Amino acid sequence: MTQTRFGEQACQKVLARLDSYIDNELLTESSLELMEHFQRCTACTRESQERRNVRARLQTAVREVKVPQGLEDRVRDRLRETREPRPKRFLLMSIAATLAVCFGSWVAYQLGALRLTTASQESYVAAISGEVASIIRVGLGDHLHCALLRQRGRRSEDGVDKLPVEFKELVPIVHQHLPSDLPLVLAHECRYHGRNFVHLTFQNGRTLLSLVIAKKQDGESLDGAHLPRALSQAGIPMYTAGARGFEVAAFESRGFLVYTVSDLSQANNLGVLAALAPSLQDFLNQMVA
Amino acid sequence: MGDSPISVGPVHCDRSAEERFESEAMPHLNDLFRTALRMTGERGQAEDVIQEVYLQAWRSFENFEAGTNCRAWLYKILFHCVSHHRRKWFRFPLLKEKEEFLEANLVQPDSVSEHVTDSEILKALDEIPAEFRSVVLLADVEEFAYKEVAEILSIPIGTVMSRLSRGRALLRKRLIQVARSYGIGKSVQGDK
Repeated sequence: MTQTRFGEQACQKVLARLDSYIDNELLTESSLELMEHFQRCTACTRESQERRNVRARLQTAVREVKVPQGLEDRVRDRLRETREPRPKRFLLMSIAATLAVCFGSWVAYQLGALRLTTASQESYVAAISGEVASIIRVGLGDHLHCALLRQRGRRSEDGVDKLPVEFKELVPIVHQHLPSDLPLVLAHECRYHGRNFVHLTFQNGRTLLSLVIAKKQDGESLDGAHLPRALSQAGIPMYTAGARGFEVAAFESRGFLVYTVSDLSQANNLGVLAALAPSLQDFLNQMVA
Repeated sequence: MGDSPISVGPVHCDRSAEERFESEAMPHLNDLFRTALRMTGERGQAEDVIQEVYLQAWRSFENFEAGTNCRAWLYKILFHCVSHHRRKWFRFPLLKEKEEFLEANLVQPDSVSEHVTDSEILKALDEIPAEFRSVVLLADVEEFAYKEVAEILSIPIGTVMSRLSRGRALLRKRLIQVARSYGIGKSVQGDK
């Protein structure tokens, strides 16, 4: 490589401080020393000029680069969005709150009205159940009738130990397979439309889920009802249906129809049943045997 | 632009935060973009970084002490964002410390030819390791004092000085190579 020999010790000292000198970072005294040195050393003078030259060329090259058109406006627009969201978000929230209150009032009105007469309850259940296949309606109807309408406000009084003796083992199975954030609040036997159900209710806040078990009657079968299969869990075919915000998932054992019905999403509602299905099927098959 | 005074005047309480931000922070946008572009290497990424810088600056503008150096403060945010994006993009060559040190300590008396174009200068700059590039940009192009560079990059002032001289030497070496590839600048010193 081409190199100038800055042989003198003085030159080495100057070169060590040259960058600071160019950048005006030296004390005045030191700067004066360097300037004196330049007067008698052309090599150092040239080196100093060359460094300034590169620096100047670099400044020009970088500063000449064109900035994208409209960048400033885009930055301002983005800032404006962050400055103004409050009123906007507030407005959306108030709309949402208003809607929630309206919906809540409507539900309260509906449920209040439904409590008045058995006939109005029946028409409510029938209207929703009418939207699903009759074999799905079995589980959905009991959920609506028992968990949603009759149990309202009374669940804590009833407890989880009202199951018939032969179904007592359901409670530990449920506890083993379901997460603790969906606690069991009621386990009992109930009757609706002349049919008996083993009915477990789970509740977390506004989420309400029923596990409904019904004995098969007169050759009832999910498989024979030509429903689309949602999933097979451990070889057990599972079916889903939904109506007006309620989700139903179902499977069958030899002697029973088993449903989960809830206001969860279809996937979550099905997930609960899928978690329980293998153990429940074993349990139900043993009982029939 | 680059050489505009960097301190800002006293706060006038009758001005809203938006007005102060507009007059104190917005004028530096183009300089910040150019630095971001050199550090990221890509205009889209540079624009993303700038958007992020101004968002962060606005969010913490109330903590920005009026009368202090707004420009240096924005650059500090810029390099914070760049290093964040750097981890995301993995495009920066890692520094080979020993090799770079040896190279940088050589005095290179060859002159950078006037025939070297601006885009060649930028290309040479972009090729030097990011640690050096950032210091060279801040000191040489943006003309920050060493103390400010140290503050912006959160490194000691001694590191600023050593990186700056290595960075400059690396840049010069590359520019000389470019000039030589044209067959010019070979005999500037005539002392081969």
